[in-house]
Amino acid sequence: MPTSSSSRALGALVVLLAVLAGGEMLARTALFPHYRALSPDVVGPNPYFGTYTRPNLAERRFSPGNFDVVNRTNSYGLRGREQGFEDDLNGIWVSGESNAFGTALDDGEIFSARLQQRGYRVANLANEGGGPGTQYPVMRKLADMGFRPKAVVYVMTLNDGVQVYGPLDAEPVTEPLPPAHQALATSVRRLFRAEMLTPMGLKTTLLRSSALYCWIKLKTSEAPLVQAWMTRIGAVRDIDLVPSGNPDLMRRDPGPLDRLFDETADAIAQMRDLAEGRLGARFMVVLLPAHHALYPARFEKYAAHLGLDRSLYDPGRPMRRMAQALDTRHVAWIDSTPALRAAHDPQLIFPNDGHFNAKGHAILADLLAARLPRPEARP
Amino acid sequence: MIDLLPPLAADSIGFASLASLCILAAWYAPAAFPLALAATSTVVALSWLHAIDLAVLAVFLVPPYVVARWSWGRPERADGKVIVAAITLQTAMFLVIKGYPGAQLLQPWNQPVAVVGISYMLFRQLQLMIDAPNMGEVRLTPYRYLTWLLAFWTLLAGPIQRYNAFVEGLAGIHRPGRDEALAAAHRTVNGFIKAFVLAPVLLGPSKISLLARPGSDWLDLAVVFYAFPFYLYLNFSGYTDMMIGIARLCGFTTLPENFNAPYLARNCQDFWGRWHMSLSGWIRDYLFTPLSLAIHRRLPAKYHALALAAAVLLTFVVVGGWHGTTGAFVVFGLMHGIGVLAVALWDGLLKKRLGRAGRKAFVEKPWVRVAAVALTFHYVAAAMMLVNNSLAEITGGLAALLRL
Repeated sequence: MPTSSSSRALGALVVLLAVLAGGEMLARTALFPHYRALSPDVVGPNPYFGTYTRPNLAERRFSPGNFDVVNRTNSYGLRGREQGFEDDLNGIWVSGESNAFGTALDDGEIFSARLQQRGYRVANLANEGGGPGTQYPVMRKLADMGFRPKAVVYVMTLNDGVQVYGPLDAEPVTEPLPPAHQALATSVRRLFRAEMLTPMGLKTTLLRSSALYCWIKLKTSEAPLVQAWMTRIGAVRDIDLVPSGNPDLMRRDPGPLDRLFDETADAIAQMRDLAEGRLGARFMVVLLPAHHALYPARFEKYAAHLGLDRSLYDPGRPMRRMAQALDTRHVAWIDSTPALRAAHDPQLIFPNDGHFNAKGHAILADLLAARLPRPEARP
Repeated sequence: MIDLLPPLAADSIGFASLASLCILAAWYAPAAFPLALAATSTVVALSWLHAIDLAVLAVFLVPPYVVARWSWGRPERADGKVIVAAITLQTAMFLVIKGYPGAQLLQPWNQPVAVVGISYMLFRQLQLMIDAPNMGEVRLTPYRYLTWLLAFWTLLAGPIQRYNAFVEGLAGIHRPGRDEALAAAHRTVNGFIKAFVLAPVLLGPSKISLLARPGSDWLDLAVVFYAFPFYLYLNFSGYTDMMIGIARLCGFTTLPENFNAPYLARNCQDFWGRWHMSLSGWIRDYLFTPLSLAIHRRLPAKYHALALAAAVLLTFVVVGGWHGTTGAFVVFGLMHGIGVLAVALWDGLLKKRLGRAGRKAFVEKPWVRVAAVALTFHYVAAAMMLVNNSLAEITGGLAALLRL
């Protein structure tokens, strides 16, 4: 048996790796099987829409204390049934971003699925991080494929969705490729920056490759004392303290930011023109309130935490301003805030995640069902 | 299980952890090593397979075992039609599973299937079936067969190890001595640095589509041209170094070498003796040598040269086709085949003009050696462009550069 110090050091290293091995496999299989859900990769090549939600997904989404669900997509990369989806594409199109996509919900809990359960034919076109910029091309592509919806419902979450949108029917501008020698120089510089060795780089690497690290991190952060400390230093997200979109949009006078409402409304009006002009479908916008607008007490907590001058802010203004911008452009809209508030439920969104939960979606389904024409009788 | 694990690539913590478990098993419980290798290899393989991939793999694994079992240690069954039929069946299954043009129409499934390492598996299975009648001296069991095919150190990208060498390696499992262990650890770390630190630096600049950018010049062409061969070498040889190093840390010393300074090759034939050696050795032993023997036995001598040239081209078409399913890979193989034939012609010409001694003196001249190495490297690098870019990308990139 070798006994030199180098041999012992090598042996110790292998033992350390093996101990990690046991822990790693235990964590992946027994302690923390949700590990894969921490950074799901749902965006990729889509056979119809370029880079979009990947088709045929069954991606588990896990956020401790919030949700543990499976997000499925069909062969179009859309959340909906496989068999009969072409029929749905000639029914009602639901368009929007992550709330419409149902990021934190099981398939049957999304409001689009709930409408389907009531007999409507509904195709959910939404994608995570979406908006008019991604939804317009999808609608156009489906129109080119010959699908003709009866109605299009665009679901917009404030204040996230208030952004700069260019002309939606412009050809996509691709980032110019760098010259090859510049690409090589960039690669070499990146190598010498040794990004993986920085604390954040190391953390990212561990998050992506070690279930054991993630499990220890999770369990540690669940201890009340640690939780309180981490919340205090801002390492754990308290959703009440996180604004939806740019917080300055909630100012009574947002200054130059105010034009964003008009730009967003312009983009939505283009969607309306496509739906009503080319497709002959009724178009309507459903406005979802930001959590600070839905629950004013949470905005008070946010304002107190940041020491904001309360008199300068009005969390309800973005909804009113957006509605006014849509009115100016003759776009039909519904504000879902009254219906959501009428439920008197303090928890229509997830505790540490700003998405609407299943209860919130149930209310949205009721709201929409009351506005949409009755479903046709199915053969 | 399949859905729980992300793919365990060679640079993942999971892979390193499992490999270390194997090393410890080899050091402290060598008798349990085969079990440890089988278990870790199964975990690695499952991490790469979806349910449908696993089902397809299960079907793919059975026929070679059954046929090898049937003819194991029975030389009288060596020329049987059963083996020929089984080789044909297995190759046909491979073509269908990989989705080669034409064969993909026969795919009975309607969703993508990707069986990791199936190209490497096929060649090992064919070797087993061909050699089985003469391999009675070692045992063939389902357990060993599966461990051999799925062994984590050869599953993803070779080297192509033959069954008897695998069994011999298993029998020799031991805790390596200090120098042996340090050399193996050194090789593993070096391999990691080559494959996962240095190689990625060259991947981005190696795409010929970069030349489509207005303002690209000859410097950019040079970067694109040279980046990919060095990327491929660093990535592939680094990966092989890692696997050989890990195996040697387990005291498993029979994994074949795959590289021997390939870009110092003096001609295309020499290149294939230095590049992916376990593949070229397999191709030589199980395709080219039987073909050339058949040519010598069955054809009149006047046709030998022509038939051998055709055999060389066919061999390299197989090499190209094995690497990928598109036509570009066939062209890649053909380029190498033509390179080998050109060398043979040139060599014949030299012998004719200078005589044997004169030819030897000529090729030993330093400037000739340097010119030959440079010419071979550039020819190989040009062929490799087909591996990294589609034909349309190559013509588009070059047309943009030349402002056509």
